[in-house]
Amino acid sequence: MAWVNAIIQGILIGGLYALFACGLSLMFGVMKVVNLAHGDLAVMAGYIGVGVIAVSHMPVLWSIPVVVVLMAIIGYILQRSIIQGAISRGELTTLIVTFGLSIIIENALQQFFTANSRGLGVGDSFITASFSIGSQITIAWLYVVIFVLAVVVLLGLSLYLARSRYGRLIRAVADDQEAAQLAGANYRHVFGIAAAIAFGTVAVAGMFEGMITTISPTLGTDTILLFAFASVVIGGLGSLWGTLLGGVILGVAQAVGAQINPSWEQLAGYAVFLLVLVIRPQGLVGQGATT
Amino acid sequence: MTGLRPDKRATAGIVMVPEGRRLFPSLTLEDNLKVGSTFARKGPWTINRVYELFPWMRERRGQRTAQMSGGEQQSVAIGRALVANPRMLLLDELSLGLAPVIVQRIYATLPQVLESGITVLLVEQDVSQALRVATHLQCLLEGHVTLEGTPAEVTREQVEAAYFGATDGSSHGLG
Amino acid sequence: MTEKLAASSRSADLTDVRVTRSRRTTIPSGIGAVVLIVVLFAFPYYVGPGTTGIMVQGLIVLTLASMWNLLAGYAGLVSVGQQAFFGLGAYFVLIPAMHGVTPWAGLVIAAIGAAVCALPLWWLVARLRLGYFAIATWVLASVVMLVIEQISSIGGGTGEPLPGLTGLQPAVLTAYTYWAALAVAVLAIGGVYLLLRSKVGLVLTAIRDDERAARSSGVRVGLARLLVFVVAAAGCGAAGGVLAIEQLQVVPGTSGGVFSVQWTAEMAFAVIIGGIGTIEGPILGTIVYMVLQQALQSYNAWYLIVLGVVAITIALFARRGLWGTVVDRFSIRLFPVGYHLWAPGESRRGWRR
Repeated sequence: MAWVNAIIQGILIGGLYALFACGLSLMFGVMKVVNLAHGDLAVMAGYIGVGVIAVSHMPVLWSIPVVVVLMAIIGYILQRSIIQGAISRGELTTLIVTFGLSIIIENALQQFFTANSRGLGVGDSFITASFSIGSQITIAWLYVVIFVLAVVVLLGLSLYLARSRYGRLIRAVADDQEAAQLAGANYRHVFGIAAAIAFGTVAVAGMFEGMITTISPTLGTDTILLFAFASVVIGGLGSLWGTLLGGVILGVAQAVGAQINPSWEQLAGYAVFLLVLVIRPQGLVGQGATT
Repeated sequence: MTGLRPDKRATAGIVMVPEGRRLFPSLTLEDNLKVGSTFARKGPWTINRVYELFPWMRERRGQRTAQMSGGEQQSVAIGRALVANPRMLLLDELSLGLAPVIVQRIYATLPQVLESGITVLLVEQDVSQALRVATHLQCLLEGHVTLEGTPAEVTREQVEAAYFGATDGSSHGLG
Repeated sequence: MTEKLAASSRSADLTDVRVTRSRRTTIPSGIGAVVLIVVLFAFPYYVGPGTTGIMVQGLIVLTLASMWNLLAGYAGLVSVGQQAFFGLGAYFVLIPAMHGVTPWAGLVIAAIGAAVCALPLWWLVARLRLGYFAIATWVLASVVMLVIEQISSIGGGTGEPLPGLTGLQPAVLTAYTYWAALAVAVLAIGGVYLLLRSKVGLVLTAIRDDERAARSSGVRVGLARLLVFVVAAAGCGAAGGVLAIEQLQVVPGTSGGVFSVQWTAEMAFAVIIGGIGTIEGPILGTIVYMVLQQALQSYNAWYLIVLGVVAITIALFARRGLWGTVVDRFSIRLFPVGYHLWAPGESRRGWRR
C-alpha cells in the first residue's frame, strides 16, 4: 500500500507547505507585497538556527522560539525601512527590492556557509521513529508532529487575526489603509507587525524543514518560494484554511507524482498548480490575483 | 493640525467620518466599531452606547458590513467615529447616495451626539438638512467664505445665491 | 448680460512648430555607434582570447539586459523567469547540433524556438497581476528546467557537450564565438530600437502612461504585451545559444546552469543600475556589471551581493538609474525613440532643451 503511505505523507508535508505559504499570503493580503525573498527567509532562519545551536548548544526545539523572535524583529525592521520605502515607490520597485533581497540573502548564505546542505538534527531516534496502522501503513512521528505544530500555528494565527486588537487592525489596514488611519491606526506600524508575523511563521517553517531534511542556500528559490506560491494559488488568497488546503493538495500531488516516477515529484505538484491557475485562478477557496 | 499625520490627528481628538463611509468591508459591524475604539480617548461613548443610539445594530453586529445598505453603513461609520470619543467630529457628505428618508433618520441621531459634548463639523450638500441641525454655518466657494451666519439669520435664497457664486442677490456672468 | 470669450489670436500658430524624431545628439551618436561596432568587430584581431571571452560574457548579459528592460521598462512585465528562455535557447542550439546542424545556424533556431515556446507560456500567465506574474514566471522556469532534465537523450540533469565545433582551431573558434555574440547583441538592441520606434512602441508608451485610458481608446494592450514577451524570449533564447557555443556544453540546473535564476538577477540588476525604461540604460548597466564582476572576481558570490545592494539602493533612491539621471539632467538621447518638439524659431544648433 505504498500509495496510501505516499498520500498520507503528502498530506502531512502539506501542513508544512501551508506554514511556508501563510507569511507570503499575509504580506500580500495586507501590504500588497509579493515578497520574492520569502523562501530565502525560511532558509535564513534555518541557518540562524544552526548558528544559535552552535553557539549555545541548546536543543533544537528550544532554539525555535529564539529564531522566531529574531526573525520577527528583523522582519519588522526590514518592513519599516526598505520594504516600506519600496511600497511608496510602486509595485515595480517593490518587486525589484524583494528580488534584490532574495539574491543578497542567498549569496550571503552561500558565502558564509558554503553551498553544502545542512541539517538541524532532532536526535536520531526521533527522526526515524515511526508508528504503524495495520500492517501496511507506516507513518513517521516527525512528520505527524510537524503537521500538528503547523496546524497549531495556523490556528493561532487565525485566532489572532480574528480576535486580537492588532489582528483586527491588520485586517482593517488590509481592507482600507486610509480609513484605518482615520481611526487612529499608524498603518506603517501595522505593516511592520504583519511583516514580523510573516517572518516569524516562515522562520518556524524553515526550522522544521531543517529538521525534516536539510537546508541549503538555494533551497529558498529552488523550491520553498515556489511551493509557497503554489499553495496560495491552489488554495486561494485570503483564507488561511484555503492555504492549508492548497498545501495539502500540493503535497499529495507531489507524493502521487513521486510514486509514478521519483523524478516527477516536483513536476506533478506544478502540474496541479498550472491546472488550477488556468481553470480556477482565484483558487479553490479564496479570491484571486488576476487583472 | 494640518501638518499632523491622519492617525495622530485622530488620537488628538479630531475624528472624521469620510465621504463614502469607508468601512472595513471584510470586518463585522462590531469589529468595525472595535477598530474605532482601539485608540479611543476617554469619554462617554462606548460600543454599547452606540448600540443604544442605533438599536438595530445589536442584532446585526456579527454581520459583515459589506453586505449592509448605504444608510446602515453610514450609521456604522458614525458609530465607529463616536467610540473614539472625539472632541470634534467631522462628517463629510453624510447624505451622499442615500435616500432622503434614511438621511433624515441619521440626522435625527445628531442631537444626542451634540449632547454628549462633541462638536460636529458638517460638510453637506443637502442644504435643508444641514440648516435644520446647524448652530452656525459657512458657505464656501473655491476656498473663500461667501456667507456666514446662523440658520436664523440667513434665508435659503441667500444660501443658494452664495452656493452659485452670486453676491447681493444679483446675477453676474462668470469671468 | 454675457461676455463673449474673446478668441485668442496668437500669431504663432501651429504650423511654426516642428516635430521630429531626432535631435541634436542623434547624428553624432549614430555615427558613434557605427564606429563602435566596427571597433568591436575588430577586437579578435588585436585582443587576446581572455579579453574576448570576457567580452562575450558581457555581450550575453547585454542582450539579456536589453530584453529584460523591454519587458519591465516598456511593457510593465517583471519577469523573474527569463532563464527559461535562456536555457531553452541553449538547448535549441544543442539539439540540432546533435543532429548535424551547425551551431551558428542553431542560433537562429534558438531565437525562433524560444519565441515559439513563449506563446503557450504567455497564455498561462498573461492574466496575472504584476507580483503574481513575477513568481509565476519563476515557477514556469522551474517547470521548463524539470521537464528538460527528464530527457536523458539531451543530457538529463547532468548536461551535454556541444558537438559540431571540434574542427575549428581555438583562436578561430574564439573569434567566431565573439562575432556571434556581437551580432546577437547588436541585433537585439537594434530590434528593440526598431520595435520602440514602430506603432508597437507607441502602444507601449500609451500603456505605460495610463493603461486604462489606453484600453478604452481601443489599444490592443494584450497583443502588444504578447509581442514584447515573444520578442524578449527570442532575444534571451539567442543569448542562451551563444552561451552554449561559448561553453561548448549545456548544463541545466539552478546552480550555475543555464536555468539558474542568477542570469535573471544579472540582467535585472544591470537594467536597474543602468536605467530602466531607456535603451541606453542596459548598455551602461552591463558595463557597470562587468566592471564589478571583474573587480570582485576572486570573491565568488560577493559580486552578486554587491550588485544586489547597489540595485536596491538605486531602485529606492535613484529610480531612473544611472542613465536616467543623465537624461534628466542633460536631455541627451542616443537612441531617438521619442518625439522632440521644436519650438518656433529653435534651430538644431541651439542648446535649448
